[in-house]
Amino acid sequence: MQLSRKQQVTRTDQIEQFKEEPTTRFSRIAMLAAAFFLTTLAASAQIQTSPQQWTIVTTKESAPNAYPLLDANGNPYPCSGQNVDNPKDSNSNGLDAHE
Amino acid sequence: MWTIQRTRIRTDWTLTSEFGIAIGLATTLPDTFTNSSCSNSGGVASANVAGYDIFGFYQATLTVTLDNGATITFTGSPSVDPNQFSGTFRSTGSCMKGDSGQFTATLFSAVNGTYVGSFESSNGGPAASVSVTFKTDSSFNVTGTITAAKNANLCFSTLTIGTPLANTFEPSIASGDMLETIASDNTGNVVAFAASNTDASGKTLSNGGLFMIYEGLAGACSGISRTDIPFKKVESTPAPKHHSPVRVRHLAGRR
Repeated sequence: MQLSRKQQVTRTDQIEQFKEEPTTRFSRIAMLAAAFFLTTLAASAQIQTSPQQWTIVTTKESAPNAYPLLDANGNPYPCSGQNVDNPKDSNSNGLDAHE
Repeated sequence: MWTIQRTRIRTDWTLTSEFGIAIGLATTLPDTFTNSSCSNSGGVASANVAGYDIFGFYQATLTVTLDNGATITFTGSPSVDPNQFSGTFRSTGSCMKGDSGQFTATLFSAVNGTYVGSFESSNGGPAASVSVTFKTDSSFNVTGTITAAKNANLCFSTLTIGTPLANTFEPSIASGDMLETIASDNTGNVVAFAASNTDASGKTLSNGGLFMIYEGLAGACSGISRTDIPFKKVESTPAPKHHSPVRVRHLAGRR
């Protein structure tokens, strides 16, 4: 049976469409994968803040200018301990060390 | 030998990152202090840090302008340690007298937890045991309680940090290795507590220990101050595991 010209064109289109389907299918999968990747990336792109507490201490100075440690009478305190302590106390600051 | 007090800058930063990459770094100026005599009030007018990144290789530079106009610029050597960097500093301003030298910057963990220790009297009286609970939030605000042991020889029994009354004196904050807190009770006592995780040489105390000192600001505690050895952090102990009861093997039937 002889196909009409119109029928031939339609059939050709269908064949071409069939041929393109795998490519189209692949493109759609790729697009979906890309969308998924971008969504995941956006979710992990949340801005994060990190509070940090820093202390900078000089270890060597040419012209020291920090306030000296003083005892209760206003005299320079000879010990490098953080706190002026009563050494005779039963709970004295044994960790204090002189520089 | 007299102690040479080291210059210190205590400050708080907030590092902002995206995709794990630092995109911003802001210094919390109200939490930035110095013990330099070239500052009129112990505060600073500005503090800017650049070149710091908690990930990988970095070289940080911190520029501090004191409230009398002097500046100190700390330039860190290249470092890969996110918790510490060292380097050299230089200064400007007549008061600083061209001071320059070396420094070490250390990152301190936020203080959260319960600490126990005791305050002693300056006249050698018995020590008074105290339990302190601190909580530091992400904005460096500190809350908590200070509880004296039963029959402790102290001017207070239980104080709460950061109450509305306490906040009328000063906010309670963490800055660098220091906590500067104000606590009060319902009898009108207001007491300032300072706690530090370092000694006078800048060395970090082990196991999160804190030197503590207090001074009464109002109420029965007014004018009273005490100090003591480092308070120790109370480690939370994990709940004991429930083992199956040990079965005594019955050997009676064995011959």
